[in-house]
Amino acid sequence: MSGDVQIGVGLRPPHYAGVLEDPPALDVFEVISENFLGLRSGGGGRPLETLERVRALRPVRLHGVSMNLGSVDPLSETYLARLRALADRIDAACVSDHVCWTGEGGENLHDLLPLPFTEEALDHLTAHVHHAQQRLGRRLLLENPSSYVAYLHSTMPEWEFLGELARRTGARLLLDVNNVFVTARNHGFPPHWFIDGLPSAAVEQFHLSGHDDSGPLRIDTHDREVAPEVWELFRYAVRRFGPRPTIVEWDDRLPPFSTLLEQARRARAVLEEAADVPLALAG
Amino acid sequence: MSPSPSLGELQRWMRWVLTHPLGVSEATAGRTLAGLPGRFDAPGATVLSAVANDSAEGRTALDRLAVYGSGYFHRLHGTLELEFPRLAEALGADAFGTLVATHLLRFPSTHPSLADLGESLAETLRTHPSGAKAPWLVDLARIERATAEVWLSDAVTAARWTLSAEDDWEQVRLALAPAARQLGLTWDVCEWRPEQGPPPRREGWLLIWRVEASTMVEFLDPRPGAVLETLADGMSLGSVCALAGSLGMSADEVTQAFGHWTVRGWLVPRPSEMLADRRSS
Repeated sequence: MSGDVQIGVGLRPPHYAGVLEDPPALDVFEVISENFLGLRSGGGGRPLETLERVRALRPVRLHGVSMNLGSVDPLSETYLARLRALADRIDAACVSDHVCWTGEGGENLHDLLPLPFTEEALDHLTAHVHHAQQRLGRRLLLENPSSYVAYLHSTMPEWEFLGELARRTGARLLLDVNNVFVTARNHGFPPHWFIDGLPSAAVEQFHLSGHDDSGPLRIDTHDREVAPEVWELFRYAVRRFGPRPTIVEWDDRLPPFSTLLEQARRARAVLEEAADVPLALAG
Repeated sequence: MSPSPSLGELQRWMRWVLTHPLGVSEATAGRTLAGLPGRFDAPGATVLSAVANDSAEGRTALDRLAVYGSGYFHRLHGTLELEFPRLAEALGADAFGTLVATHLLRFPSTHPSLADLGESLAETLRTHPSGAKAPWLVDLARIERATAEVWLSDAVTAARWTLSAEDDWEQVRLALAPAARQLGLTWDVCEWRPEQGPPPRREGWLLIWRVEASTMVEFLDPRPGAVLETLADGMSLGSVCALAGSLGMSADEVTQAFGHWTVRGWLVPRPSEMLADRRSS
């Protein structure tokens, strides 16, 4: 499968050498933006040199974890300028980040912290997404994070919040199917509600990854294969939204690259299955 | 109690509770520690009552918050452990964990990237009981940080610039290349392993630099090291030569040292120097 519906994996440092030596049958790579921004004092260092070699092989998607879009702090202009320079330098296929906040009071917690789904948060996030898109000179892709905490004063479900955010900002959604499943299990609602509630025209990409189901709460660990229930939900999402570019993420306890390729092949099979019986896009 | 906190109240409270050194449960129970920085003063509004609760074991509001709270420490601890592997090994898990906790109190992450988190770890260690007990570990921490920094800085390449007859060479000012660091050290810890016992003292300078994927190190004796440091600090070449003479270095020694440093690519013209405009290809 090629063209519009690309399949790729999140590329992490232990796999660079192998990928550069023997480029795999993937359409695209996704990397964590912050890993290529170097030190505060500037320069991207060896990671950026390596990324440029990867980029010579395949398109690269930049996936960020620190834009801090939902924070009451102002967005970091330095961060946005450096991210734009990086995106321009490698001609990034897209730039994405999360619908969350990552710090407050100038302190960065380096986690994807949940927002309340309120009008106040929506207004705030809308302003920040507009600002970021203007600074980056491109439309953002916004991902739903996994969550463990929900707030009683939320006034709408997450899917409605995301859909409205996309409508107001023109940003598109990067639907992390594993995160949908984890969040749904942790907050006690059927995961398909989430899928059904999103405007399909807004969903531009999918993410898949593994999670830990050994405790009372599901934890989004990115350290294992995609769970069977998540594959099922992915099929459901593909039927609902149609085939979309899909990235398999794996961040901790990295396996051999062949394991990621196998997960990507499985994702490709699901998309191809759906492409044989295309669904009209609603939206 | 604020059942419907503003976004700002919510985020201030969450930042406080998730980064609190006593953990989520103790912080929300009102426990505190003497001497904590002001950012750990309990914020006025409590958000706990706005967090959805569940009576099932492991799914209460506190359990849910604790996922983020423990994740905060473990994520940053893991980052520093990767950056300072020899220091972590030398200290052992408990002492390294205490050091990280102390460091996060003094130097919380204020940048989107984790690359700067370890910038001041050696400084934290210097005033930490572990550093007082084994002062050579401060030098080790500085070496590991410098190694990380050269990895994340633009690579050193062999010198691509020359001095010509038209240069007023005495006024030329240089700087260390972006991916080169010079450290003044007291202990011989460059290749030291914890099982060897305390390392010997060895005062001098260490150059750490990166060429493509290779990180190199070279020890410099005190005199040339001091001259290089002064040069890299921006003193003019003429003044540096005078300094070298006052330290007892002969003209031949200065010429040889300068040639060695430039061939290694450690020195680059300062951006403001006219020299930079005449770099050869």
